[in-house]
Amino acid sequence: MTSDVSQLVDHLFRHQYGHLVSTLTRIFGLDNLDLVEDVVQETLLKALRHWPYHGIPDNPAGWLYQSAKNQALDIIRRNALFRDKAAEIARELEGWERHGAVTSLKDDELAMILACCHPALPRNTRVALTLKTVGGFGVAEIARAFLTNDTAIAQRLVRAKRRLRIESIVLEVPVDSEMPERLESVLDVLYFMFNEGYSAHSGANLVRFDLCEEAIRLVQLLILHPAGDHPVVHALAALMFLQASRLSARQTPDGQLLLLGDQDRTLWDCRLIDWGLYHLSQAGKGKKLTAYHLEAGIAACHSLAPMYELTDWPQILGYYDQLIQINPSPVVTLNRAVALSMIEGPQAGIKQLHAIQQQVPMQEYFLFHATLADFYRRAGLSLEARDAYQRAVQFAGSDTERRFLVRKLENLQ
Amino acid sequence: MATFMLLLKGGDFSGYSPEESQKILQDYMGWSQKLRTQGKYKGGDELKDGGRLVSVSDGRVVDGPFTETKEVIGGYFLIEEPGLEAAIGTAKDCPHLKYKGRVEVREINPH
Repeated sequence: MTSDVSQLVDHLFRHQYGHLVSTLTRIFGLDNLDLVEDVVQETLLKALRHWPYHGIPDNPAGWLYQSAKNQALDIIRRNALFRDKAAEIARELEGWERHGAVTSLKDDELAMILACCHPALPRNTRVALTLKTVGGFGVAEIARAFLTNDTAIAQRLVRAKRRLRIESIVLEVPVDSEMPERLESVLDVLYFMFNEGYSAHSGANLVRFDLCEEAIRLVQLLILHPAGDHPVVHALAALMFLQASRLSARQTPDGQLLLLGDQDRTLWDCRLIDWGLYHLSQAGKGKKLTAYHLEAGIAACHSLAPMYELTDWPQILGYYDQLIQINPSPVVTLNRAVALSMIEGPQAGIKQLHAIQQQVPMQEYFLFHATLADFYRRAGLSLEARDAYQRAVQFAGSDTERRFLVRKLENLQ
Repeated sequence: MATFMLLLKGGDFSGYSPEESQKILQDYMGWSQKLRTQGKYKGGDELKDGGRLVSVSDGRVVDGPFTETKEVIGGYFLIEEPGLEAAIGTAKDCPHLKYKGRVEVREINPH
């Protein structure tokens, strides 16, 4: 026992929640996910009532495990529903070892991630369910992260659980041949989760950062499991680490947005860049080139440039050319146009953007107008630049973005 | 120096996310840690849920559950303070107040 608060690892409760839910759900079955969540919630409550008086146990995770196990045993003793399976469940629970911090991904958790990210569920649902049951996020936290209300998320979760039942989705690590498709669905969720956190359109930044952190934690856990240790998973990990390395440089202390060219590169987190490059090297071991590989490659080009002026634009353009083959979307074209303009000049960029301006969602996408404005500015077309910046302001999602654009607009004059 | 008993009554931790729960816990730990570093802490314990209320009804000794479950004492702390005012000050800092709880401050009467 200790009264030292620092003994509590950051996010211990959140991570243990996911860990305990996964393990208990394997024992009780996905049908009893609600019951399992109640058990784990009650376990945390017990710690809340107990620890302030007794201090933090030497092995907090082990304490939570033991406590959850006792409560689960209690439930099967009292609940008639489990009478038939009581002996079996009790045996499994008794077999629980005492766990320390979660450093590896057990089959239970991998199975849980796979079930939450099942292709039969809509993407939004997959993300919410993963955050709730694997990530240990609360309903309100998920709602804040996705700028919606608690009721909407709660309903989404209820529907998700019903869907799991209807589709008879079971908790298991599928056979090797099914793994690529299932992994793809998981990576899609983690990529979305990370981007939601990274782009921080609006809302509380802290919650957003939590999303990035959770996406990175899960992708790392995936890699720790033999069934998840695929080159494409490494590619996504590389992309996340390289992007995350720049998080603290993207804003000034007073909250102003800074683009790549204006960032203080000494603020980039070298440790994360190293991790990113390591995963990128691992990503190259497969046969398949995915969008994650290419996006990570682009991110690496930026990470490796000692200054903006020395960015390897031809290499980046090459990656975008390949990316457009895989994912021919106007957003990719928009980003490619930036690289192109750095090589061939702003006029080339303007031409590209004009070609896609009628496509959805470009007209209402603030970055489209902001990028176009920047091209006009560089081409010396101040009037057009002002118009485009004004349109960008109109569609900006957050105050940070709006302030950034207004500043650009003022600098034009 | 006098010894005081702080009785932590009620309190509601339901509806918090795991992350919030951990923050609440850190809040409590911070408060009790401060008592220890200041040398005020003399002891404390959690009281188990349940228990019985023994009383006399119609001339018979009976036992039954508590009627006022909201005011159940969750635990207590024994602290050393120069006087009642100081003890009240410490109680006012107790995170229990933030979670629908109440803290009763009582001085131990020395022999």
